[in-house]
Amino acid sequence: MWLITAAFGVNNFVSPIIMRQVLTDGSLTAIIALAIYLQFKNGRFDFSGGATMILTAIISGNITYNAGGNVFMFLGLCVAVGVILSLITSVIYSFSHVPVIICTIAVTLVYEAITYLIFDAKGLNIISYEIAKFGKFPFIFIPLVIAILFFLFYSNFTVEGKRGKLLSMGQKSAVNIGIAERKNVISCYLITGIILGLGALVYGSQNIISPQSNLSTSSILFSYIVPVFIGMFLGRASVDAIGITVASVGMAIMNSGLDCLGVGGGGVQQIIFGIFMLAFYAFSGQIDKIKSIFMRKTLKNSI
Amino acid sequence: MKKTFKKIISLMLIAVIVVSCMSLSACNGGNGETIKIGIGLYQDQGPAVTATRAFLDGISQELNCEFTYVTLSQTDEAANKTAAQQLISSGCKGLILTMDSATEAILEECAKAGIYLGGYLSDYEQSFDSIKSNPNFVGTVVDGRYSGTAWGEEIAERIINEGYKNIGMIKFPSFAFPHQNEMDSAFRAKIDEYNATAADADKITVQAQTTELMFQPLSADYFSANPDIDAIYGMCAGVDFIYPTLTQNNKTNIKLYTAGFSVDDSVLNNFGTSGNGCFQELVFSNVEAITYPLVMLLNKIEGQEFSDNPSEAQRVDSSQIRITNNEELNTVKEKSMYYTGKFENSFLSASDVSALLAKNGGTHEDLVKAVQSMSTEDLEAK
Amino acid sequence: MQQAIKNTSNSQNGLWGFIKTNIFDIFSVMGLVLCIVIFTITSNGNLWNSYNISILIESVCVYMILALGALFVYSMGYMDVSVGVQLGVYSILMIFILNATGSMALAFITILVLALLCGAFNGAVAVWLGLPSIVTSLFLMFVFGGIQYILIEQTGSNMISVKNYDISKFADSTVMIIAMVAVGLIVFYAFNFTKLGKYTRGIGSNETTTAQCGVNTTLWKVIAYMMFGVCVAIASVFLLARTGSAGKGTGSTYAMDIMLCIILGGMPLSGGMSSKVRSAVIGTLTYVLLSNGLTLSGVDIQTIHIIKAVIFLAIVLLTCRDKNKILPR
Repeated sequence: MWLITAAFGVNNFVSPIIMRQVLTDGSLTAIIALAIYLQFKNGRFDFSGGATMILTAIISGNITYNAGGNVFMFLGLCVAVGVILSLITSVIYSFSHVPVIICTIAVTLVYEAITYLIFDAKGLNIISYEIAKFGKFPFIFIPLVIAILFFLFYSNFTVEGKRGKLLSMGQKSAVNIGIAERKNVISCYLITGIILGLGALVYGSQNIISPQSNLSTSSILFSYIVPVFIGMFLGRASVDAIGITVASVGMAIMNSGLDCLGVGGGGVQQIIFGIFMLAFYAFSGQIDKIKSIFMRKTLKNSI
Repeated sequence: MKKTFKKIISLMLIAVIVVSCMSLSACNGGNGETIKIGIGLYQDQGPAVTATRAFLDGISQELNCEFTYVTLSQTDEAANKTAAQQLISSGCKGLILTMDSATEAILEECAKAGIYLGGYLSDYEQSFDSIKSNPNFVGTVVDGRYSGTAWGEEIAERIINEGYKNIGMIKFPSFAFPHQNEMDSAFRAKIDEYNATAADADKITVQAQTTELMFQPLSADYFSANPDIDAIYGMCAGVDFIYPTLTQNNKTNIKLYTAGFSVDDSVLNNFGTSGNGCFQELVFSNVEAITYPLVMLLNKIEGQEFSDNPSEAQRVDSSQIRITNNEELNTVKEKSMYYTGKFENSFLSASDVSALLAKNGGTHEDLVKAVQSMSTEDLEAK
Repeated sequence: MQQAIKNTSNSQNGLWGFIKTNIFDIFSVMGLVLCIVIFTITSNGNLWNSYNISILIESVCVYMILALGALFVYSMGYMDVSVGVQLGVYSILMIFILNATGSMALAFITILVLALLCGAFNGAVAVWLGLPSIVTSLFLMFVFGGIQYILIEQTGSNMISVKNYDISKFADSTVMIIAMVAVGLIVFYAFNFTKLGKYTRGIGSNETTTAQCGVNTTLWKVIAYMMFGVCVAIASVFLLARTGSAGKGTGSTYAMDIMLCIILGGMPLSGGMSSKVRSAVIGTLTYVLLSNGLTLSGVDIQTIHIIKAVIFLAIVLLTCRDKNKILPR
């Protein structure tokens, strides 16, 4: 991106301001992408992530502000409200036996509607206050590190996290061998709630949030989904959480570079973004085939 | 277990339906003689919506009107036509819409139903020339002044007087807000005029090419490309699109002169000499300006006409509240209906509005004067 | 054995057996009937005035054609999030062509070809490159969203209108009813009596098994997506006819709205053998009636959101439940 911007005569791309913005944007993207990916990893697509995050930010931000609380109160409330909302979703899903997408779409509509009913439908605007500190550089790394640690802890060091892999690979077989799926769902949503709460903390600290309706929060979800796809591939070379974080920073670099080139926010950026996503995903899907072709050739030559 | 679950869900559904029925019945409590007016706003919440509703609630009894609200889409014409159709279908005799979107199609619906349309805080830029002679269109009241020239010059004068030397320029794209080009040109012309006679050390540098925001917050690379700016003229809604980026990048030392307003403390506590002092100018239009299309509609519905009724629909300027210092902000907090959301703070009482109707001897000149007498000075004089 | 006993008991119980087997469909229909009854009362009869019926037809038309086409995609357990921006771009392209040539045939053929190409792309490229179909659909969403933005930006205005052609003839209620019935009949036939419907439902139930039965699943996926493409092209004409103009947000909400329509009709998004044409029809009618009825009844804007959400939640809890031991995905 630096070379491209330099080629177009933009010489301010590698400046402290832009690098700081890249790390700030990348951190927020990584936290939200981790929450989306955790459900993916357990074989589910949770449509309600965006709505949970927005509602959490509105409730926690307004309570903290009205109570004159500090940044740690905001952090604690975000995590608590995020967990409560996620647990409500998990209970509705696991006891209703409604397919997860449909169930989470319904929950999304309810959570979005609640944003109109609380705090006089004002949404949230705390960006210029001290409680928004975790949305800024370098404090933003604190929620990011907490999110990564929770993700890694759940995925690699808990029985439920490991069972989640079995459930995503072969749900029926996993249930037949005695894995309690409901327990997995609830525990997975608990961790997702914590990560979404951290996402709400950062998102609410960086953005003015308006009440939402008609699944508009799904666009928030879709705007953070690309790093999930890319991170899943990058994660094969290391740890998936690291892959997602690296992919998120990579996307932030691309966005900033396009901004510097003067195509940020417009139609051209969307098109480049789409092509990049497809090309990357297509390449990562073909990498094993390409590898096996090379392996075969090497084998033939050696024989 | 399953049966119990189904019973619970069935009961839940029944409960929702009963509650809905009760609330709906309550909504339909109005008597049949009132004139129903449909209001389409482009937001469904916020201080402007609250104040508009409070104003209309305050005058409804005196005018024997009932108001029904819908939210319009800023980008979807078909959705707006559906919203207008639903208002017509629910018995509205007149519509007041804040969006110039699918206007010609909506006017066709109005003609079919024999009802009228007026505009509110919108210049109907795209369709005005083709609809101004339409008998079902009663005219519109603009969000401030139709031409942006005056405000551009006023901000330039402030910048010169307050001694800022390096000015950033930010606006929305021309295709969406063409009048921001007039503000831009007028500002630059005034600064050029000043620079022509100023000493070198006092000359003001203006950002060579104005940054256009594609309805997304300002990008951080703006500060990297414009490192020395000490003030920004934000012709677009700077509260939502510029200020968050200034805060994120610890650049609130840059002064912001921008369109728009917010009742939020995070904005008002950083205005003028308060807080970080980033905001130096905020501007908003008064919700009481809705009086213009409302009175024009009621005249048409009641078959009345002003003695000086214009031959075709008009695009009328409205006065705005310009907040330039802490005293003016305090006045707004104390006396402006936009801030307080209370009808008692309105520029016009119910009887004032009623007196503007043609049947009560009002004239078009009086009506225009009423919506143009709501400036900061008028507010202070209240 | 137990199943046999169950079947016997069902057939013996007659009506009760029928109700038990079709419980979810009955709930969907009941939802629609309840909407009609409640809004007839609360709208003071305005629901049935001739003007409202004409606007209901106008609103339903685009949703219905799209939902019927989407049935083929959703019955495979896939979704297409690009349909909204596709509608927007097709509307703008039609305006460009109509204003330049005045030829509706040329405009329609152009967007039809584009829609078919998009369908083929969604169906085939995902299989060839081994991608989830949501990725190709997201790609199209980003690309078409960008194109829509650029096209409107080029015009130097917020929107663009048809000048050289009377598009309003397509907004006539009779024409819309004919279009809906024609598309409905074709979809009904294709979905219930041709290989297309059988195989798409088969793919939704179990793609591997369907492929192992000798079905070229890639080919049928492409055909299903192209069928949806045809419906998107037709719907674009009626969408444009409603206002005669298009902007950068035209069509944007349709992708999610169609999903809501289908769910309200009682069809699981996982697709499979339980997919039915009536889900699209009932769901669309319920969805449009909900919006129309609540507004006619004078319900406050902010209250409409929560009423719609709770009704939606209740309907899906009643109609979309899966009786399997495992949690449905």
